[in-house]
Amino acid sequence: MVKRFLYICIALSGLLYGCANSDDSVFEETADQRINQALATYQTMLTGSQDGWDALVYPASGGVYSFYIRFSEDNRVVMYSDFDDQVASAPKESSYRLKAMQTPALIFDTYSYLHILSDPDPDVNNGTTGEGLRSDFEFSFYGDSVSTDRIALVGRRNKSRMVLTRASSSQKAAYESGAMGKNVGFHKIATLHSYFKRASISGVQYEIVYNPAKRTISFTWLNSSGNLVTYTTPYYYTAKGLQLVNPLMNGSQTINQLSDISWTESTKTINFSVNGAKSAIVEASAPLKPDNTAGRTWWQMAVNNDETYWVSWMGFHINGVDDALKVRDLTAPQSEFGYLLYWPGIGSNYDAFAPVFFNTQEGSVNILYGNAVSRPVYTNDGRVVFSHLGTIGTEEYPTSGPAVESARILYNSRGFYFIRTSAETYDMVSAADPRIWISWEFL
Amino acid sequence: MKTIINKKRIRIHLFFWVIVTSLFSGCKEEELGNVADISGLGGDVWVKGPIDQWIYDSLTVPYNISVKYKWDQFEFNNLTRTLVPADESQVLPLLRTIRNIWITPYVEDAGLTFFNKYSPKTFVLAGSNEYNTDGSVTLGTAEGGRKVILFAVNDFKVKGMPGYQAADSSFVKQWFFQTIHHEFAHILHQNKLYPQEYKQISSGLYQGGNWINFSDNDARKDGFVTSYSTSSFSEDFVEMIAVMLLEGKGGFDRIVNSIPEGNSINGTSKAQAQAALRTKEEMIVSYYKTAWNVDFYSLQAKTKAALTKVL
Repeated sequence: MVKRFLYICIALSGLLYGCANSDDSVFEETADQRINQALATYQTMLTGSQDGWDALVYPASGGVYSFYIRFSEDNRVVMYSDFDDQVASAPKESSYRLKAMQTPALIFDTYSYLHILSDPDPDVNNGTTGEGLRSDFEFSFYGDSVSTDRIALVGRRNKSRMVLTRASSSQKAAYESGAMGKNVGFHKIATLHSYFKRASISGVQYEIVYNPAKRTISFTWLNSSGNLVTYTTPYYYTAKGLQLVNPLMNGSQTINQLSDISWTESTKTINFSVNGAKSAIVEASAPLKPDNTAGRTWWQMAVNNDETYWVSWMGFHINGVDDALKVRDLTAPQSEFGYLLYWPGIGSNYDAFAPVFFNTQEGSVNILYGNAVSRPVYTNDGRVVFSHLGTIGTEEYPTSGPAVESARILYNSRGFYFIRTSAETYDMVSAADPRIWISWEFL
Repeated sequence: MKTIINKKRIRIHLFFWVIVTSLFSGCKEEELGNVADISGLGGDVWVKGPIDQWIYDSLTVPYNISVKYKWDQFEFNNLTRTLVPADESQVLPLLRTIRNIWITPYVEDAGLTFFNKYSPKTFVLAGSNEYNTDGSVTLGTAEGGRKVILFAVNDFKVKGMPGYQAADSSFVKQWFFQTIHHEFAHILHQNKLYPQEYKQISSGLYQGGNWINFSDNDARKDGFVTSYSTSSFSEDFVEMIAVMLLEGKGGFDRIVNSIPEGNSINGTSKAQAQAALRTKEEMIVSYYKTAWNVDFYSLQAKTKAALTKVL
């Protein structure tokens, strides 16, 4: 009885198990067929935009970079890039292909402007040696972010993002006529030698700080209460202008873009328009509103902490030239120049301003000669004035040279404006000549 | 005792097991899909262009050599390193030069059959250097005589290319040409050993891993042609070959003759160093003749002539 039951059980399980392999897949086609279809579809979508794509790339190291990309059926791709004005105005052709990897992937497989961001050679992009800007040139497709007008891709190596937006024929024509190249000319703002750069936009004075290393731009203005407001946003360029990633909103005014940028060589002005109204960047000789407390805070910070002071690695910047006085070429026996130092409160009634040398033989840091500076005087219009008390040091104070010239600038009777650039850095700008400044770092 | 076999029982058992077996195995197995559908099975596909055509005509057809210049992450050994692909405008100038300073001289002097048998079959190009965590960069690599990876292809410059300066020549010579000749010489001696006597010439002076602490000038004072030569017998053998071919007779003579007076830190005299280098030279020339029936000096002259045209 039991045996018969067992036999029946085995037989039944044979029946069930034996036919469990029915063809029960969710899809009609095989996985390979579906992969091939996806690749073909994506290729058709990319090449289907005859006028190409606006592309924004967000590398893992930060910032956003803009490209114009046009794909063609024979695996060729043409690009413009906003990385500098040369690559913004001259197109470069290279190749691409689609490949089935863990996901369907788009590979830019020969060197293009896009690869500039990934290049591990720091001379190419000022990025980290061996890493570049941590960007990508192999991207994964994800089916839910693909449409005829917009394709969002994720980089395989660094997970950077690329967003493609279908371009119009007028955009294509604009890129091909060099429009983006002209806009990238905005970086000529660095050739304006004054520390303070301003533009009047719809009746409001903005002070502008352009930081191409970080790919950000800052605007500072006075609000209705007369207080300074600063707004910083990443930017990128297009054929239309400099695009603010996050629009600036000031009351009823919204600034999205500095459009139609051009450079006038004769007057050294950068022209642009905002919301249709023309504007220009001009040099100014003072901050919009001097920061009355910055100088005091700078001085006090070093006094509040033991054995701390301010150092400048590059000395005075004059008329567009770093270390214009060549303090970095100063020498001393067995020593190398280290930095210029300002030490508040080193003496009971004086501060020290001196070049500091590293003695490579003994491994020591020394002030050989320098200035004793009287306690700074703070004016009520935000300037800090330094005056000479005497000399300090074991060596003879030189009669000429970079140290002497630097002190002469320090002692200018008009003094300096202080601008705090970060928690531990300040810029000190000559009130007599805004093309002269020095950057201090807390040590 | 008589054993009774119940025939009916056996029949039932047999019948039962036949049913069960057929049930288990009877259902149709899943069919093998269409193999032709598998994406990328025969290698990636793209529309061929002039570069592909040149590679096919000038390298693949005559020498069965393929060149991967389009990016493929999996050709590189170290996936943690950031690399970028080669610029198309660099590929043909590089490959033409490689053909002229390596393939053509060997084919002329050693024969096509020889070259096709022993040459690496795949070259992979990377646009950038491969930066290591200690700040050094990797020179080209070779794998088992089959595959050679060349880095920094985007920095390759010879006469006639935009931006070329005479100062580029030593980098180009070392990064590309030395690598190829060095790796090819390894293939040769791994197929036909060099004579054991070669190892006696500088015996006791090899540095192993410490080679990196010596300059080429120091090494020459000890009778080695480059500092990397001092790392092992085989490296010594192939570095000699690469340098002799690329410097030419005159260049190599200059190296030997410019060894300074006095002893090296290991106590080798100038005369001993020069004698060592000359003995190595003789053994290599003899090896090429005996093992491969190649006139080394002819090969050297041709290689050097081709090099002088471009650098």
